[in-house]
Amino acid sequence: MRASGSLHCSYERLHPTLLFVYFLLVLAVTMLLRHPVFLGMEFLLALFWIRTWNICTIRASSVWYVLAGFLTLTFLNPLISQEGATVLFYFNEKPITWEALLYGALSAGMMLNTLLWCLIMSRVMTTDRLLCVCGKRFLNLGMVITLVFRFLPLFIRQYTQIKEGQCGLYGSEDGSFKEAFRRTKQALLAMMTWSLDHGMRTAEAMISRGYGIGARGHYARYHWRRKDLFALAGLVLCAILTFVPLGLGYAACEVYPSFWWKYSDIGDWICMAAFLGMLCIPMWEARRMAG
Amino acid sequence: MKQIRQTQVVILAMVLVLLLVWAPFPYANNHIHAFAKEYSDEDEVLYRTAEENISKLLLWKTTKASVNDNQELFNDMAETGGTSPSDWYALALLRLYGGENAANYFECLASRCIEPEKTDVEQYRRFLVMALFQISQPPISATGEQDLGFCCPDEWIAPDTLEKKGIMSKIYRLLYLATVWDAENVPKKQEEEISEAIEDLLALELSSGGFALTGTNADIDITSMAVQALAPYASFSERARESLLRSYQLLCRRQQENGGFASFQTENAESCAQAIIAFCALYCSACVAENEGMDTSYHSFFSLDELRERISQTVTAMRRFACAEGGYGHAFTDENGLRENELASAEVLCAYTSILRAFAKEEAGFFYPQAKEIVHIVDQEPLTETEESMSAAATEEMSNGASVVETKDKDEWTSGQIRLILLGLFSFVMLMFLLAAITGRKKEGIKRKVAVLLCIGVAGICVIFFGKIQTKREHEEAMLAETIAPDEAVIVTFSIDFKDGTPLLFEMQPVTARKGESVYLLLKRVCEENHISLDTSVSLGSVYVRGIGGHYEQDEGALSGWIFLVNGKVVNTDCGSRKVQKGDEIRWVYTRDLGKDVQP
Repeated sequence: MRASGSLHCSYERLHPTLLFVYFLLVLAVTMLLRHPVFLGMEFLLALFWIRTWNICTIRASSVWYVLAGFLTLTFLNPLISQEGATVLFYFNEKPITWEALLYGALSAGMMLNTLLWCLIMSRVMTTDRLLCVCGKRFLNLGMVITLVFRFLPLFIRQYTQIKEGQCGLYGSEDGSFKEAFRRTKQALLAMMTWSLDHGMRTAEAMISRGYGIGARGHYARYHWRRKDLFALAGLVLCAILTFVPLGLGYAACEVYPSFWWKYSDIGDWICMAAFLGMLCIPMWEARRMAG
Repeated sequence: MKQIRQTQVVILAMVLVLLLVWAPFPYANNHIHAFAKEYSDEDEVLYRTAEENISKLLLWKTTKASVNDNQELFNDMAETGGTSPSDWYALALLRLYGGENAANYFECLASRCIEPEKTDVEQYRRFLVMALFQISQPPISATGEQDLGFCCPDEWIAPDTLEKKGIMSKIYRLLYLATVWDAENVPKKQEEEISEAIEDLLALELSSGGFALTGTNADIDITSMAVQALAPYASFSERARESLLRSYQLLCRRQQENGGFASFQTENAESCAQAIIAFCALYCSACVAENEGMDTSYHSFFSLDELRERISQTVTAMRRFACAEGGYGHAFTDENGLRENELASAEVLCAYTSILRAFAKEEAGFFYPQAKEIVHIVDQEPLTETEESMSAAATEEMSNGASVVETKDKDEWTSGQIRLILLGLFSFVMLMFLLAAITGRKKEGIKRKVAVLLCIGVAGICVIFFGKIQTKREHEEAMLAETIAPDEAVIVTFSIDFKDGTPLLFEMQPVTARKGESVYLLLKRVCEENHISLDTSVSLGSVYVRGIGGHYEQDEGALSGWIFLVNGKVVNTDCGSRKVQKGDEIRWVYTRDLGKDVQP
């Protein structure tokens, strides 16, 4: 699947620190801003990441789920919030306002974007990349992260095994809620002892391999290149050009009490363009490296 | 694993159903009343304020004044012509309603103007001129057809008949000329006539600027009238413009620090109202000047922003004269505090209509589009029968007009259509969830999922189907219908105290409550009427008052908050379920010790 085109998986050649900073910045903007233009750009770029670099496959069912969830969130907000100036109609004496509807849609868009970008980040920032980001400075943190990341899949595998064992012992799972609770409790107790035991064994294995004898080194497959430096500089520049106008009140968007957004000023344009640039930097960099 | 998933789905479904059922819980939200103040557009704020107050005043006039004092909306203008509040009401209604449906009314008025044997025919003529000016329509249209069904002979306003009558006759002459005046196309003869009339009026201007009926001290009311008369000619005559500037400066000098105006050393609502009318006239003419791109010195002097600022200051000052019932009082020097006054209320209504006219966004002549709704509301209130054919004809004409306009208005969707749309949207969302469930990879729990979805769907459709959906207008009408009918009114005494007996709203005072109304609903109504913010939380059908007028629970220690006393005893039940009874003495107080400090 991977490495089929020139553009495909070329993000893998980017330095993890660059990617890490990139994702932090994008997630910060995604979670903080409710501006429709920003939401649109984030969504499109997220789709681009997913489609082009095979983050995950998009199934029909997930599209339906996302659409239905989006609409549900949109229509739930006016039921809960009665703020807003433009009343559309009254539902059981409560005003349903246009602004509340809009706010619901924007919030739903924001949540969707955050989910998508978190998904992309979790797929792209694999353990080795995270370790590389931790680097020499935070050796201990890096090791703890490694251990945790290793432990999680092992835990899940073990839990499934115990569950399957229970199925074999007591028959299929169609029992009452109480029964299911009892079994789960049993399984979790077993998992507790297992994880302690597993921790002991890991520690012994580490000691037998020479842990604690002397200073530890650090290995990474990734190398910091000049191009990465340029990309990082571009990223920082774009971030400054995005956040400074935002701080000055450009590209602002307020829903309550009545909707208004800024999009026509030169400051707004600079802010949006810088953010688009920031979003596109990995693509541009990957293309440059591939080419 | 499967078991857990299904439990989650069931819990989610329950939460959704709960939300759907809870959300339309019939307690109106209190935040909604605050938004008018937050408009960024200042014009909009003024416009909304005026709109709101007009509805209130009209409602007050129709419910309180006519029911209690047995007065008509239009009472007999013949006996009190020119000085009674009824004139101002008629003018205000004309402004709101435009001249379109008032032909009958004008006919009646005109018929009185022709009877020369009557001594007060002059008053009628003046009033006719004023009314014509309000709707800005000449009695005879340019094509010679009689728009209003009568002819206004020249002699009524001819200079020689009005010459001896002092400043008011000159003002009325200018007003009349304004109705027949067409800025685009001014005949030479008329031009001279207008210049002459302007000169006549300016001859009476005081040296310090402004005008007065007698004496040398400028009078706010007369100056305001003169400004109204001169404002239409601002773009036409240099002299008029200069005089307007002087009058404006006078008004600015006379404006007090709190924004109000005084006549005879007493600040009063009428002077404020007149000043607002004058400012609005200036605002209109400045707008016209700006549109035409004429003389920059003129419209730079009348900065629109400054005028708007002055108007809103004056409105703020004027609103202090509002009484609890909805009418306006004359001044604070009255015995027994502020008392409602017909004339003051009428002039205030007129001032608000001027604001509407000046700040209306659409250029719809002087026709105020929402007037039909207000008149429609007024129409529903019972008007006492009157022998005067004029007022009867006028109101009848107006109400006919109202129903005609109402049937024409089909811009808004009906509640049935809204219900259909909601059903459609809801089914669409549910269908998507269904599709998602069917197309999903995991097939094992699909039956249960579909069942849960169907349950939610049926619940939601039931809520939408049996829920109460009202369009904006229906809601408004329902709210207005809530005003208490006399037969189910009970009088209770009511007050909101704050901190050691200092009244937040008013001292113990009789308030009309509906029979069986809860203490909470009474509080809510009183707060709404007096523009006091009220913050409540509703849980499981019981209401808890968190804050009144910005003073919140736990502001002064953990045991502080709002409680209410009925007949001097702290009531610990929910204020939403405690019903008021006749003669109850209800007092809301802020306690600091769970009510122990307020118990006598």
